[in-house]
Amino acid sequence: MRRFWISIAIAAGLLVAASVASLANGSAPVPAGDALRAVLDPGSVDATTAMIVRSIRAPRLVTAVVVGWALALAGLCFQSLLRNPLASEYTLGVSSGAALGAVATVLVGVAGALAVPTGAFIGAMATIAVVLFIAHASFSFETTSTILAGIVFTSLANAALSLMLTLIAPDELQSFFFWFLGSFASAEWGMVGPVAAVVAVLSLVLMGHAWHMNAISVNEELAEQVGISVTRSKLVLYGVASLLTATVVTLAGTIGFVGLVVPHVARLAVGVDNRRLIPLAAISGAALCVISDLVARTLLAPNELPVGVVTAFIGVPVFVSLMRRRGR
Amino acid sequence: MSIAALRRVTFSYNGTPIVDDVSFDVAAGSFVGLVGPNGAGKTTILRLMQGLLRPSSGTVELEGRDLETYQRNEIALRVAGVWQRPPLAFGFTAKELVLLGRTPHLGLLKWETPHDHEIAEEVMRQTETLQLANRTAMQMSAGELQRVFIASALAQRTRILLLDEPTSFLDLRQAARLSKIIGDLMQCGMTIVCASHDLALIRRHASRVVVIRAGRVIHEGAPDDALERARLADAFGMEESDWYHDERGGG
Repeated sequence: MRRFWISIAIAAGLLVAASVASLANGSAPVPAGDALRAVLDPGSVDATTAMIVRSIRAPRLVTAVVVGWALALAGLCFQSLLRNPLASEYTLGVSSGAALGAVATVLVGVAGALAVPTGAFIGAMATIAVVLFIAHASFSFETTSTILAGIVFTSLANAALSLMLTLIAPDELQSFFFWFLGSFASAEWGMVGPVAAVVAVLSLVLMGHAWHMNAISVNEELAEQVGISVTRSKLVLYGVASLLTATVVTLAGTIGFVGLVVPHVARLAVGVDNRRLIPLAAISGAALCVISDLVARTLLAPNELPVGVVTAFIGVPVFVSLMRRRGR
Repeated sequence: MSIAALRRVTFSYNGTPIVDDVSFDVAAGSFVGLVGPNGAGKTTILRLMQGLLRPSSGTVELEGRDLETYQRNEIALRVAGVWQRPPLAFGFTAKELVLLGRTPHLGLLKWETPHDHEIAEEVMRQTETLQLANRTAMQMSAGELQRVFIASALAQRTRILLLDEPTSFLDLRQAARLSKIIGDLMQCGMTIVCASHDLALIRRHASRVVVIRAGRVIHEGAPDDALERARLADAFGMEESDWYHDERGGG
């Protein structure tokens, strides 16, 4: 347990430090002390600083936290269900499926506040159904073929997304790149508040199923034997993971590798018990996204990199070394 | 009194019956041995008895009630099993695997108590696996892993234990130890159903033996009668003159 609390302290410390840096840095740098005062006591700083920090950087920061948190948990959940450390919402194509669902909803012109999130959720669920169906048909369900099916589906979904983008008027095109590359630039309180609430509830549901995840990730038959209703638990867990992915995609587009890398690093730190992995992965995922966003905003300032590009630059080398370790 | 029973149970896979019209009773506190060739359906029968498979027809009874009327957790409180398992993903340690056996006894949030740890350690001492506590499945031999799974099943603290080839990976010392554990468990009133080719183990403990061939019960009776050489040679489709088990000390 000592190792767990130390890991949590490190991840939380990293998150807090990155958050303060994120509030202070940007096109108009603000001293860290002022940035914190703007959040805690807005009257004590000038109005412009308060506005920049509270209305622009703070919602963006919270968005990054929520997205990283949710992506890491979704990845952890998929990895446990599929007993494969290479699984994640991104490699399984669930992110692309959600983006496809969201873009399709926009293109078809369905109105209403919940239209895009619903489209994304349907896209995510449909993807996981298709991917599991393809993997099942190849007779080696839940192994490498699931990942392969996910990668194939991702290519298909991305092709479909590209096709849809060619149908969009050029002046609208810029905003649609968001779905491909991921960004926190459109963050605002009205959107991130409800999503944070949904993610909080889903996190609690996941925590309540941590032991079930343990048993299922050991062996499904063993899980049944010790009294776990595997079918029901898997349904809940696939639902939670897909919903987490869908909510995040509506908030920030597709961001890869957080869900793949973070659970793996957390596992190296505290072992495989999901009751310890869930909190650690969530906080670490949040920290990674806040850091990535900070890099995305400051590396080539005043130009801004898409955050998905930054997570991929960090994630790809880790993914490759992971593959090599498994191959040995 | 019978604590478990199969009543005319058939289980088919892709239209082929694996278990075909099988009936037998398991008396409370008894040891029933299932003997038969590879692929005869012994493992399938054990799976049916734990509700891991549903019969195509017929009923499996547990404590006089149709197994289908039980919740998963209710079955897990009554029946534990030791199976030959496929490889495991992720690095769960021996202790974590044994604690999984406590699942049906854990509360809503599934956090184990000091009492659960005590039981886990007790069964690990019993199976000589305590020194493996922090090793992962990858770092254990097949026999060590087998003992960990036996410990996990014992940690479930059930009245019925199903064993599928429990001695298959065990060395002489560990097989003897398992035999002693089985003897101790039976002293405490445990009911055991065991599928095994280890005829010495069956002979030692069984009160009844069910001989199975091609999914059907071809004989049921006392061990001396059921394990008679001519009968077994017939069940396994071999010549009596090819028998070498006596020389090997097996049966």
